[in-house]
Amino acid sequence: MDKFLVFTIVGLTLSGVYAIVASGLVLTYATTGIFNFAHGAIGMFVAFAYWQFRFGWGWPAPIALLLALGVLAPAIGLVIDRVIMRGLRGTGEATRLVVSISLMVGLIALANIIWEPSRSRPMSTFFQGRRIKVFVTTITYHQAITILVALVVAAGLRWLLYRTRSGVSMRANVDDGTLTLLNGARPSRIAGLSWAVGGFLAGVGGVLIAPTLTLESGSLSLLIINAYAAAIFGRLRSIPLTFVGAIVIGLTEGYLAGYLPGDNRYLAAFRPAAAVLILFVALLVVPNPRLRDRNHIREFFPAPTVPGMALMAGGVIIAAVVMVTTLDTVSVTSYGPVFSLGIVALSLVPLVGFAGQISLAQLSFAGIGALAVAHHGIGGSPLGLVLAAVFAAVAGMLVALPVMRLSGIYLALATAAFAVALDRWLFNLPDFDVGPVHVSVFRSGSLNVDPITVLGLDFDSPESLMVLSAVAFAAVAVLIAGLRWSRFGRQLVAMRDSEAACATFGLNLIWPRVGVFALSAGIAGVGGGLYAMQLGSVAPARFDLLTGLPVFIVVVVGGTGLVGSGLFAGSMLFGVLPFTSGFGPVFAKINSTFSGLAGIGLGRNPSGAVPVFARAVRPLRNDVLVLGSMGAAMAVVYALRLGDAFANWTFAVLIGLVAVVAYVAAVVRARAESSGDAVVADLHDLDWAGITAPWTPQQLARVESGLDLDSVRQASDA
Amino acid sequence: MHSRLPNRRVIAALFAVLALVASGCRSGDDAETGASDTSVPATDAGDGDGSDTADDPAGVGDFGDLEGVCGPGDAAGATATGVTDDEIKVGTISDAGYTGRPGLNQELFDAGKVFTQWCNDAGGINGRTITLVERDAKLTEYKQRITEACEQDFMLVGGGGVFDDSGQVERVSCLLPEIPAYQASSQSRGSALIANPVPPSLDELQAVAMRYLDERFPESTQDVGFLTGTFASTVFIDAQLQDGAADLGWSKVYEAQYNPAVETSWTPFAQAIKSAGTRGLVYSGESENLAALLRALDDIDYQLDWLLAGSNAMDVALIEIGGDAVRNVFMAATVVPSFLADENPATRQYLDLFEQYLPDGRDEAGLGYNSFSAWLLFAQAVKSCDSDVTRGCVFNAAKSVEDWTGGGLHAPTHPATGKLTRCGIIVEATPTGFEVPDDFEANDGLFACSEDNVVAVTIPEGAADGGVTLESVGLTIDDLE
Repeated sequence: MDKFLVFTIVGLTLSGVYAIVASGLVLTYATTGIFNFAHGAIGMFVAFAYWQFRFGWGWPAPIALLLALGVLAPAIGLVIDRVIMRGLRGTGEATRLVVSISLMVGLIALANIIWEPSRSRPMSTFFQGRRIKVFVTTITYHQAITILVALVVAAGLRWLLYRTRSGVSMRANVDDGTLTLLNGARPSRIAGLSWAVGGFLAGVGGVLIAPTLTLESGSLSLLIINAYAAAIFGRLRSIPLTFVGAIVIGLTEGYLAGYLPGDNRYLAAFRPAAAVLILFVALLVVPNPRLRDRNHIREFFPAPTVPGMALMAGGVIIAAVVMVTTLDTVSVTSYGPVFSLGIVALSLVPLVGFAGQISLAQLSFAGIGALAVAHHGIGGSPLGLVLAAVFAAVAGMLVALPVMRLSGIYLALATAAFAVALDRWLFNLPDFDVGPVHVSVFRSGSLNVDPITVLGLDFDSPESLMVLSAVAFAAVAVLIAGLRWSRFGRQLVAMRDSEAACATFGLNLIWPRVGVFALSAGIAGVGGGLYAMQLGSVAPARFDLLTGLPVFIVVVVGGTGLVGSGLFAGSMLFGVLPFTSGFGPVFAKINSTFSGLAGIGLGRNPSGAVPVFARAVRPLRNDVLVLGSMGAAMAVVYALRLGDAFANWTFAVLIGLVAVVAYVAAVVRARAESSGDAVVADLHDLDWAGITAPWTPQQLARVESGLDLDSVRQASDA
Repeated sequence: MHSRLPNRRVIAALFAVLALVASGCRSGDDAETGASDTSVPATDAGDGDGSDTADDPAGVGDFGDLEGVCGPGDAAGATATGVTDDEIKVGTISDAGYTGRPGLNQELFDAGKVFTQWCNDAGGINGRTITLVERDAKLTEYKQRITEACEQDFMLVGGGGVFDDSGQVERVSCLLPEIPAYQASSQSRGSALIANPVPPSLDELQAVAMRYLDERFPESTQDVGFLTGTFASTVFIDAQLQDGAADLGWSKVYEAQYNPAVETSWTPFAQAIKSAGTRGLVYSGESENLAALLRALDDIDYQLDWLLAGSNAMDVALIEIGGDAVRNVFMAATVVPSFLADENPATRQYLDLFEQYLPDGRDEAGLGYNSFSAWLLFAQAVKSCDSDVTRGCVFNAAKSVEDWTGGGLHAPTHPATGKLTRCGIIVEATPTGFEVPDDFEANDGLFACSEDNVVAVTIPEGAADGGVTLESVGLTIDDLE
């Protein structure tokens, strides 16, 4: 009984920490509608600042606390609101999610630049060494303070949200911003206040947690995964229920520490995964969220065109062939993941872009694919790659079935929970049996992967594997484009645009949702399988949640609904960034903040980077003559390179030069043409203006002249 | 951005592990020496084969008890990849450019720089200067660096990569031998063409610290706990430690795994350790987490009789963060810790060379000693090959050394057989620094050596199948020229 009591008390001290962090999350979500993944990172940053004030510079604790919590933490919240979150009105969940994840990445990078990570930063707890006797055990002053603060926070938030004018308008703003505005509230001020309080709560959590752990930017930022579970208990809205959740999770962790049999190899690693499993279960019992429609969606993704897809698929294969024939083996090995992990990126296109579902577990599915190839592709058997798709698709379905009622942020959290459960627990298990099925995972450490043999061809060199991956990439890209053109694809897009409308029309949304999950997981599995072959041996660390986040971020940054964003993500993350990082440590440092900055910039341009790029090259694409000559010129340059007329640098510069010249030529020709056309007033091409492409100044001018408002005004003046 | 966040966490654990694998230490200025019964090590430790030629009167080119490691000579000929009349290009692998943990294992590069500058100043090896090529794997690019080294370098010396499981096929296929500072994965440990100056072992366990604790605290070995991180690599080490403990007749009362990424508090572990009645704890993990655990134990006022940590805990962070809670913490070292430099001329010379050639370098980081030992082994082997510097000659010379101490930097090892060393030093962590406990009885210089210091353990499932042999890539040792 004593033991039980001891671990109950231990659990309650943990609950205090989770309650503080989770209520901060709930506050931000309930008042701004944004699930702030960066909540823990803000807390981490404030904790670092507190360390700097209190221990780095040795200031007295009250001053350090006042500066860190009273000034810095709310200021961070305000800056985030002003600079980043303002731009996110009317964007989809995926975009908002990416922005907050990017913010987390950015804050971690910033902390690492300010506070050099390799030295240790000792931090003493509040009233270190002083203890209070509680029944059968003792707790420290620090733990008592944590519990007390949690209670104060709960009471304070309840009071703020229900008893103050600001709090009521905060809640009103989320329920219906327009209505609140009409009632004379000022949404921008409300949002600013929410973020300031949210930042403050994150800071309180950070300053209370950091001293009992180690001051390390990455792990402190991620501690909140456990707090998410508590927040889900409160459906991201209710502070009291969030408290219940925090207590449940704290107690579970406490009891598991006390009672989990440590010598069971299957359960030993279960405890760290417990919180995410609770999260998963909590998500399942959360009542169905209302089918909500956004008033309008700012992201816009046109369907792929046949010539566009042909150009891309052909271009990818040609690029791969050019790369393997010009680059040395080392570079080919370096840039290998451009296409294999590019396929994983591509798998997000139907799921996130078409169907509007969110999955943070794509790389985990890729890991399942890698496992299939390692276990079943022995000796080069193509069965491995087939099973990679099958196993991953089945896993995708298993994830989708229980969570199919969920959408948006809940779905993101459920898939994240799945990914974390895999990399903290399941991937590290010894072999086990599920009924008749024998499951082998990574055993202890890494597995060897044999290269594939298809139709007598051995893909055993980095070069051949790169070409194979490129061909697979092109095939998957065409498959996804075909999907978009099909009835199924249109269903998915309809689901994304308005679930309520789909339901009204009697569309059953279960099958498209499970189907697209399975398909996308299967694609990711194939990508993972190819990636595993390129690596030659695979370890679970390559496929964890955090490794997968950049892929998700960059695909969304590219523009999730576009097949080109898969290529964009692959070539940015595994081509351009490693290449430029090679220039020196300064570039590497800048690049380390890339996906953070890119995601933050997304708020300004929610349709992503690929459409911007596509719009820019449109003149070139439409000009067959210039495009043809450019291709011919490039072929000549390539032939010269193959004939060793010059080295790679010259080759790259010449290719770039040809492209620039062709682009300029196309733009000049297009301009000459359009100035000739303008004389002929043809209003018919205005039918699609603003629908398939944004309005151009020329089109606007034509509308103006068509309406002839000037003469009307003159007439009325007269 | 690629892999920026990702491996941060992973690396934390892997870093800990590789440090567990290769012994070493790093201690602060406040580290005090506490060994009273130790003496300058005997200088009869082996110096490889055929290293007794040049006898430089000034001692330039001598290191520790090795004479004339480097010096002038008239070796000539472009005998192998990376070798010319007056130069040998040698690659060193490290992960220093990993953006998630800048400077990770920088000491491998630092030790290489110090060695090559010192050696070249002394006249090179048989007159050929050594050119160090830094091969920065940045954690994820190990395989690429191996491919580059295959084409350009004579050999790989004094380095190691956290993800060294990739790239072994390439290295063995291109017949590139390696004299590493450490090997992280079981794949690497099982692979061919490696002569490790401080060999790790899969089926043997260094038990010098366990023996010591067994004698000093006989009453608490029936209440032993085991705590490890949830990573395949630390779980692996933990399993071997449990095996070793069982061999010694210890009884287990507590066992758990922690996850460095998610623990919000160490109090649950402290309470669980207490409630199981644990009196001695075997810990495998990072030193900063160990410090947090010790503080949590202190918070609930529970005092272990002893805590056994890996040699990676010999880190100044343990003292800085743990403070007064650092009590009864023991670890074993096979490399002489830098706080013993005054009693060990080789360690002193190593630190002096850093002072001379690279004052800002990481002179106290543990792996640096292993790296330097690898360079010494390499230099001895190259010297013995005279003009005929081929991969085959140098590798075979290094691989046939049977008694090696790196000039006195570490305990005697057997690069030829790859057997684990039978010697170790016990180090105790105290709130003021690291010291050798007074009752530690050394019998070979600073070390206690005995066959009993090693126990046979079973290889965990899955760990044995790694490894790239020459046969598996269709080659034989005769292909090595």
